[in-house]
Amino acid sequence: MSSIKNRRFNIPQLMVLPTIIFILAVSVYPLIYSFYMTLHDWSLTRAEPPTFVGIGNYISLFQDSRFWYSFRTTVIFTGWAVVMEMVIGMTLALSITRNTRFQQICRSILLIPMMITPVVLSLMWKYMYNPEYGIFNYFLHFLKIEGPIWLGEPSPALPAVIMVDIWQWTPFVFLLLFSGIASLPPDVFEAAQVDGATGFQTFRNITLPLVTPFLLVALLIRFMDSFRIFDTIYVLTKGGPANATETLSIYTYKVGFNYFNMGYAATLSYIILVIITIASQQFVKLEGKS
Amino acid sequence: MKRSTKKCIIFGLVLSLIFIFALVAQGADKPVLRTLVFQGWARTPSLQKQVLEYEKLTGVKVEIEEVPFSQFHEKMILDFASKAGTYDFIGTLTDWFSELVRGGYIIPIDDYIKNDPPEDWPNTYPQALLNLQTKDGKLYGFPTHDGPIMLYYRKDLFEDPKEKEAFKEKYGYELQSPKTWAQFLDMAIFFNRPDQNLNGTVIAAKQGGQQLAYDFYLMLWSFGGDIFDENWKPIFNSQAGIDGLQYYADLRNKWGVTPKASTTYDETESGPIYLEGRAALMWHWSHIASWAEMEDRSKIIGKNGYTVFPVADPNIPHTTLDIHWFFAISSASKNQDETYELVKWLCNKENDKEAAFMGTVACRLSTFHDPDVLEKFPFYSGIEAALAGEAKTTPQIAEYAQVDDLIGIACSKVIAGEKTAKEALDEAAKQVEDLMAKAGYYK
Repeated sequence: MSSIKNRRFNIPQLMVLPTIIFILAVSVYPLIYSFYMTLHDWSLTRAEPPTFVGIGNYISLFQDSRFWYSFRTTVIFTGWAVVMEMVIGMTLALSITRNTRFQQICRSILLIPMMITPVVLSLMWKYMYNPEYGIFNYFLHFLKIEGPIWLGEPSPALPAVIMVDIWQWTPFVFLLLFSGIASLPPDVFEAAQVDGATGFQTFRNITLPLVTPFLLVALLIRFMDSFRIFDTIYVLTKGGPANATETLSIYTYKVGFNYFNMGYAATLSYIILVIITIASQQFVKLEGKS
Repeated sequence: MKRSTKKCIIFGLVLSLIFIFALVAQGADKPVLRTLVFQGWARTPSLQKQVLEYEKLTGVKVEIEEVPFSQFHEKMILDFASKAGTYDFIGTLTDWFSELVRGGYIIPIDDYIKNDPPEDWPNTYPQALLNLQTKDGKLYGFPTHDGPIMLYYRKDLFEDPKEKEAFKEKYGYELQSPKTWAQFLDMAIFFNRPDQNLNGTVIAAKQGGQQLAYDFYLMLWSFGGDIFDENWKPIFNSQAGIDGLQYYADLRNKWGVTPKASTTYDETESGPIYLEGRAALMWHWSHIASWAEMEDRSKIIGKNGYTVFPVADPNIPHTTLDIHWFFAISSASKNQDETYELVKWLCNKENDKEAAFMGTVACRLSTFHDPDVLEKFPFYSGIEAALAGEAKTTPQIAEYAQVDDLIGIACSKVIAGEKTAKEALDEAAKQVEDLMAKAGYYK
C-alpha cells in the first residue's frame, strides 16, 4: 500500500521535473555563471583564459566615471518616461471609461503602439526624426521654425528618445489602469455623487486610493523596463551624440560586445540587477501597505 | 496493431534512415563553406557572383551571411570565441587584425602560399597592404577591398570658367583642387549654396559610426600630429590634435559648410550626398571614385575629380588613411584547405579585375596596371602612389576598438559644443593611457 502511495507521490514531481530543469538551465545557471564571470578579468580578444581578480571589477566599476554618467542618464530617462507614462496613461484611462462604440474603437487604437516590435518602432521614429526628410521638421518648417537635429545634438536627443518610450508604453499603463478603474464598485461613486463631491474630489479621495494597487503594479513594471532600456536607444542613437543617451544597458553592451571585456560587462549587468531588485522590493512593500 | 503492420513500419523507417544517410554521405564529399559579410559591403556583389561560378567549377557551395555593419564585428568575434566554426572565412577589416591574431582566431597562410602561391607571387599586392595583415613575419590573409581616403571635388564646378573667375576675384588665387586646409575652407565657403541645394562639403560626424574617429586621425596627421608615440603613450592631445579637431568641428558649427545633420551621418550616408551632387568637396574612401562613374549609384558621372588629402601647412607631407578588407581563414574552420583554395581563387587576377568593375576597390597590382581598369577608373594610379607614399593606418593593437570609441566620444563632445577640443582630447588621452597601462603596454 505504501509503495503505491510513494509511486503516486513521485509522479507529480516527475511531471514538474522538466520545467524545473529548464528553469535551472535557462535562469539559475546563467545567473551563477555570470556572477562567476564578474570575479574574473576575461577578454574575448585574448587567447589566455580568464584571470581571477576577486572584487577587482566591482572596485573598477565604482571608480568608473563613465558608469556614473550612464547611471545618471538612466535615472533621468527612467524618471521622465515613467512619470509621463503614468500621468498620460491615467488621464486616458479616466477619459475613456464609457462603453460607447467610439470609445471602444479609441481603446483599440490606443493599444497599437505597444503591439509593434521595439526595433521596428524605433526605426519608424528614426525616419520621423530625420532633420532633412522627417515629418517633425517638415511641419515645423511650415510654422517657420527651424527644427532641431533631433538625434544629432545632445539637448534634443535624450528627450527624443524618451518620447519614443512614452509613445510605445503609455498604452500599457492605460490598459492596466483602465482595467483597475473598470473593476471599481460603482456604488461608491454614486454615493459620492449624492453627497455632492466634485470630479476632482471624487478622483482624489475615491478613485486614486482605490486604483493605487494597479498604479503601483504599472509603476513597478514600467520602472523595471525603462531602467533596462536598450533597443530603442541602440537603434536611434547608439548612445550618442556626445554620449548624451548612453544608458547603463548601452554602456554594458559596448563593454561586452564592442570591447569584448566580458568580466566587466558581467559586473555592470549585476549592478543593474541589484539596483532593479532593491527598487522593486520598495515598490512591493508600498503595494503591500496600500 | 498487427505484427505484419508493425514489421512494415519498422522496415519503412529503416529504409528512410538509409536513404537519409546516403544523401548526407553524398553531400559530405564536398564541404559547404560559409562566410560573413556586412550589408552594403562594396565587395559583396562581386563575391555573390563569383561564389556561384566557383560552385559550378568545383562543386563547392559557398554560403554568404549578411548582417548590418553595426553587428558585424560582434558577430564575428563571438563566433570565433565560441569556436563554433560557423564561418570558414571572413572578409574582415585590418582595424581588427591584431585582436583576431591575439585571440588565435585566424590562421597564417604562409605554408599554403609556399605550396600553392597566388598568381604573380610575391609581386601580387603592394607591400603596404600586406604589411597590415602580417604579424611576426606571418601573413594572415589576402587583401580584397581597399580604400585609402582621397579628397573628391566636383571637377565640373572647379573647371567652370565663370566659377574660376568669381573665385579668383573673391580670394585672389586660382580655383583648383585644394592642397591646404585654408584653401579647402575658402572653396567650401565659396561653393556653399543652400538655395541651390549645394553644400561646400559633407562630413560623417556621427558618434558610434565608423567614420568619426577616422576623420580625427586624418585631421591629426594633416596638422602634423600622431596618435601614439613609440612607447604607446597617447599624444593625440597635442596642439596638432586640438587644432585639427577644432577645424573639423568648425566646418559645421562655425562655417556651416557641411549640413547640420552631419552629426547623424556615417560614411554610408555622407557618400551618397556627394554622389547625388549635393556637395562640392568631400573626403571619403576610394570606392567613391569607382561609384561616381556607375550609373546606378551616381548623378555626377564624369564630374568627379580626386586629389591628395589636404594639410594644414605645405611643409607637412600629404598623407592618407589606409585600412582595408582582407579574407582571413578561421582557425576553427574544419575546411581550411578548401577555404584557402576558394580565397586564392576569389583573389586571382580575373576576379580582382571583375570586382573592380563591380564597385570594389581592387587590391592586386595586376588590376592597378590593367589598361581596361585605368581607362574606366583612372584613380587606381593614385591609389598605388598613395600606398607607396605616406599612407598611415590605425593603431595595430588589440585594444583598438576601445581606443576608437573613446576618441569618437571626445570628438562628438567637441562638435556638440560640450567641451573644448583641449578638454575633450586631454580626457580621452587619460582614458586611453589608463587602458593601455591596464593592458600591459607600459613597464
